[in-house]
Amino acid sequence: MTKIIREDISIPILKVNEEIAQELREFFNKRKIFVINIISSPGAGKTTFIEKLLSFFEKNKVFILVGDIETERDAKRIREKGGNSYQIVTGGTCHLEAIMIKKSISLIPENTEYLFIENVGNLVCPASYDLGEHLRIIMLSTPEGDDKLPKYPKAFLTGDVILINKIDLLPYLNFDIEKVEEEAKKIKENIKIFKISALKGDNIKEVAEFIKNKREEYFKS
Amino acid sequence: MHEYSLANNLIELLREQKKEKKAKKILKVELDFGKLSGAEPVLFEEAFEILKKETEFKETELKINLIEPEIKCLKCGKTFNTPYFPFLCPFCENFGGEIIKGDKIFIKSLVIENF
Repeated sequence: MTKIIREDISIPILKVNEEIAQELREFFNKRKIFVINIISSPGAGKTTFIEKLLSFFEKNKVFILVGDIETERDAKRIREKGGNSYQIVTGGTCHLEAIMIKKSISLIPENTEYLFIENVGNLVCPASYDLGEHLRIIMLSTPEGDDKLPKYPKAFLTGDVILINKIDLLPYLNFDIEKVEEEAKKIKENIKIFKISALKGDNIKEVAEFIKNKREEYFKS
Repeated sequence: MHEYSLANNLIELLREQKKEKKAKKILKVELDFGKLSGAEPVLFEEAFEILKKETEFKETELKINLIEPEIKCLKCGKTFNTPYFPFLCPFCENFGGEIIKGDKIFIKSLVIENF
């Protein structure tokens, strides 16, 4: 005799990702690797930012994982600047998932102190996936327009830091930077904002110092 | 556009549940779908309908309950619902706030047929 029953449960649909992310965070904590997940639209300047940021770190203490749907171009670009990086080719997936990071952790050298994860260029989907990171950076660039925050609130809500990139182009654009800052504070009062130009190197040192302090703070206890 | 990934996650969880509960069939799955989950319910439904055809859940019916976001004001501590960004507390008019409900997708219930 078959029986039909209803069962009430409460399982997050991203349960597996959440479990792996937690496992990763424990691994990173044990190894004292501070992990930074960088999310932005395509072309906002993530790779250029990482290239510039590298000069403020000891290169052998930094590892970079780069996610893209196709090609190994970005990891190659970073390697050409002396960085130690590995490309995750997602083959169509529009975001990185914790399992993809887990599959790559054996590549991280012993003395690594910082792991930067350059997510797939997309302001929507990556926001939903915890990768076991300690710090989430959301980057937006001035040519994208100053209305990104209310349009993509989830990304900014889950972020700890906002980088407004390509400020060197401000004189040529109709981009209200004060409006963006004001909106950011309304979405998240304590969010940290840096105005940078990755290309020109403006304010990159400040971001590097901030990240270093965050690592120190995190592993102090 | 990560609705296909999410629908795939759902199918995997259904497989796990079916095994765990030693069910013959899963007739229905009900989701609490947060409006701030970052996924689009219509696209999710479409993805599930397409993906399930290749699985043992061909006949599984999907029901989606949309969940309004619930926000806790960081200043006065009261909770409120709002579909709008940024979150403006109706009690103390402070901006911001912590999402306490409505930013995730949960499987809420299953209707299963047992042997």
